[in-house]
Amino acid sequence: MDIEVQYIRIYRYCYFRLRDRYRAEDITQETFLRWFASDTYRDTGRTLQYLYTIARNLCTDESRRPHAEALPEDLPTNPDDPLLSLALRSELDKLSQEDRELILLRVVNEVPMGILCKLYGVSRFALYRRLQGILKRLRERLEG
Amino acid sequence: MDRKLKTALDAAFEAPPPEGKAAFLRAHRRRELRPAALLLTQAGYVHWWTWAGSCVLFAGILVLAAGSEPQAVWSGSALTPLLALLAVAESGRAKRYGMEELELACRMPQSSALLARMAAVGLLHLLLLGISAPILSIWGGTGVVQTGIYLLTPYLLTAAIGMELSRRVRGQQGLLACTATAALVCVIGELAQTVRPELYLEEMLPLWYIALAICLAASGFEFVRMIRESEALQWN
Repeated sequence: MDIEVQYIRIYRYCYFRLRDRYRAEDITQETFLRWFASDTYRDTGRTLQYLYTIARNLCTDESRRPHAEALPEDLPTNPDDPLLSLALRSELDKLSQEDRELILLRVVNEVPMGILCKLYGVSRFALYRRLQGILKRLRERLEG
Repeated sequence: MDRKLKTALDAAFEAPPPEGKAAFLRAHRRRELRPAALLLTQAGYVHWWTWAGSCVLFAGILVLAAGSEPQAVWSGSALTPLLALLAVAESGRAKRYGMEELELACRMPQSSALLARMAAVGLLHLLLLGISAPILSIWGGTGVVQTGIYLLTPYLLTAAIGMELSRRVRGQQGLLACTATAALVCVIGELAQTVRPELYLEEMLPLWYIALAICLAASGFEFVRMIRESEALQWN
């Protein structure tokens, strides 16, 4: 596991959960500190699940605190197709928090399906159908 | 999923770069437990009875062999199933005393702990058999390798059957079944050298090699199944 890549991915996950770069970075570092502290925990191939579970729980605790900020407007867009980027962002905002999180984890952070199934406590089939449904809806809205 | 949508999604979820990543990763590193440290830590959790029993059995093998010099090898090999019984009993101790759930709740994966404990016990047994083999070969007048095969085969046979039984039969009955198996292997070993002494001739050595290979494969297979079963429990 490339720790630098995973740091960025966990940070991105926290950022889109909390919508605050400083709090997201704090939570990311707290997640990794907890993982580092578990020095008797041997790598059994479930490190990602371990990291995302900690990050998810910490984000949930953090988002309950009353200082949420809006996502800044100057987010980078796709230079090849800025219109698509803006349209997609607007469609993503219409999705539920959990659906958005699923897209981020599976498509952007490339978390394996097996780990996502355990993270959400659902079967592979159910998760696959849900993911395909969200992507289909996104595609239809963007084309229509 | 089409590439255009994937690229657009990547861009839509692009977060501002983290500022403290490099400093944080430079300052903190994960300390992993090394295999030797794991082995030593887990060896401490092996019941004292297993260590003491192994040493007593080792002394028993030497005493029994010294008292029956021409048949020193057979007398010694008749006791090795009891060594295997100790190892199998240790592997199923948590299950037997209903402490499996407590072990599953620990931070250390149960499969790693079990693997380390069995490695510790197995290494001790291998050492004891390694010391016994040259001594018994001198007393019994057989080659060291040949003696090693006669000692290892009943050990591995008992371990393989014992592990299978302890997976299938739970609790004290499982231990009883393993004890009965060890006793049966002991008796068969003793009987074989009286009823069929030709089995121990040098010409029969290829058959012993095959038997050893089968027992080795069977005990390895059973061990892997036991570890997999504990992994499945962990994530159930």
